[in-house]
Amino acid sequence: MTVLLRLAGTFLMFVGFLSIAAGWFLLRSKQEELGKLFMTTSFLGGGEVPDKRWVRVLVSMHGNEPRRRAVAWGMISSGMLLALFGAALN
Amino acid sequence: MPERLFTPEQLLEATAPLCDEAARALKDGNIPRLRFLLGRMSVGHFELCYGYIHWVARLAGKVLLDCGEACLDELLSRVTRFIVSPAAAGLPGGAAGEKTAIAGIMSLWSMQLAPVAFLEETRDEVAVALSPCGSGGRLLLDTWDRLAPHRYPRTGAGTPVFCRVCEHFRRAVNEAAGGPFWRAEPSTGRPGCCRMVFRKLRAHGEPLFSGDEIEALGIPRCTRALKRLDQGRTDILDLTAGQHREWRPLHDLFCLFVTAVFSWADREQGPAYLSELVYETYVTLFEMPYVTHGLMDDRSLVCTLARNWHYHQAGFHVTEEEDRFVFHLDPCGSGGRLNRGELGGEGRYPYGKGMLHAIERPDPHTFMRAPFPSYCIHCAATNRDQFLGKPWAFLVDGDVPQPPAGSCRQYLYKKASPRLAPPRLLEQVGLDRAEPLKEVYLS
Repeated sequence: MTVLLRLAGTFLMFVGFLSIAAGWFLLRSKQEELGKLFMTTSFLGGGEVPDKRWVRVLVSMHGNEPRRRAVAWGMISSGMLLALFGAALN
Repeated sequence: MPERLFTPEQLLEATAPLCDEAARALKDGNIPRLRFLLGRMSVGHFELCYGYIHWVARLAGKVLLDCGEACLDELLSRVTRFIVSPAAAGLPGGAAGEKTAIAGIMSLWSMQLAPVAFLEETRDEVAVALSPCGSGGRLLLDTWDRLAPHRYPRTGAGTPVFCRVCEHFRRAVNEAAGGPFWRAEPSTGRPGCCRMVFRKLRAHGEPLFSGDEIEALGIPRCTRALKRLDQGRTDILDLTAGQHREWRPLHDLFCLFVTAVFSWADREQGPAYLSELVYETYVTLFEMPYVTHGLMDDRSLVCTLARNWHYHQAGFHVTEEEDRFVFHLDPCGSGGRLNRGELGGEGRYPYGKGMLHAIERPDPHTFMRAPFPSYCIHCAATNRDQFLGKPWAFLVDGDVPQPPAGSCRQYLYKKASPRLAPPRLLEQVGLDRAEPLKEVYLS
């Protein structure tokens, strides 16, 4: 049980750090960089009327600076919470 | 049957070029959106550019492995001279011609999605750094020569095959210039990086480029537009309007190369070799698009394909039918423009002259038509491949183009549509039925 908890805790810390890193990258990104990234990740679609919900979340940040910053801070905050929770489990 | 996805107005908007959206964002004063669109536009041609680079390398690679280095060199010598001579003949004389040539060559590299840095202009030379080169350098950095040496071989001297193509282009340009005008110095310490040097044979020590011209040289329009926005300027319409045509010279160069090699293969190696050539170098390149097709929804597919048609230099409009989208190409930006003598400059490269050859016998690669333009056989080849179990993402109706200047029709089938091939499309490529979609492509 202890081992499982530690594994879960380590996993959550890892996910948390990834979320913080991704959020930090998003926070520092410029809109033109988001544009390039959107294009080169072709599977996200070349247009902005996608069917997939998670792609619509990404699309909502395009050209929308307040939304981009809010999503970025959300990712950083949730990453920190996850990492702390994971550390607590450890 | 799948549902209708767009009203006619929505479809028009969804398939408009990115520069139109950018103009709207500029007009609305929405600078963040404009910046986002400029980012998209700056790489708008990336699939086509990388596709062509790989295609050229694979064509040269197959000829090298099948026919030998001497044969490849002879072919490249003929192809590059064929492409360069008419362009060189159109240049003004003296220093102005040299300046135009240098700017033109640099514009080819600036569109290859890799940095081009102007190093210096001295009394005798103009030097430019490619860090890395976006074509041969990129293939080298991606280690294609090691991942797939049967497709991206090196010559006996160890030169990567794409770089051999570039060598021949330089030789053809130098021949046209009447001297050692253009040389490349690959970096020994940094793979993929090259220093290009242009010798001023006619400028007689005079400077060729002003500071502003140097600024513009090698810097794509989107980058310049973003710089102006950074400076608080919004006068960027001159840079964004028709931006998808910026890479036209490089696009047309690739098309001409492919057509010349196909023509050579048909005339001197025979139809069986041509069939092998188009299948191994082009049809196999479509595997990646088929995979991404499986990951994308119908709306995104239409938008992506429309963007690619804009960057493929086509004139077109799109209509929606119950089971498919129809792209009415007038003209197709590659084969269509070539058929009309528009590619590479008005009237410079007509079919039937030089190395551009029409195929005289009907077969499944010519949609059972003859004479048929050699470049366009690749569409018949992918039609056939798609009917043999691949997604119907890019079916071309071989009956539609009436040579020499006909329009084309291309179909993108909706994912939920039943797999019922129009009999005529099957007949055009020598098939009597279509195979079901292979499981690996199911989304």
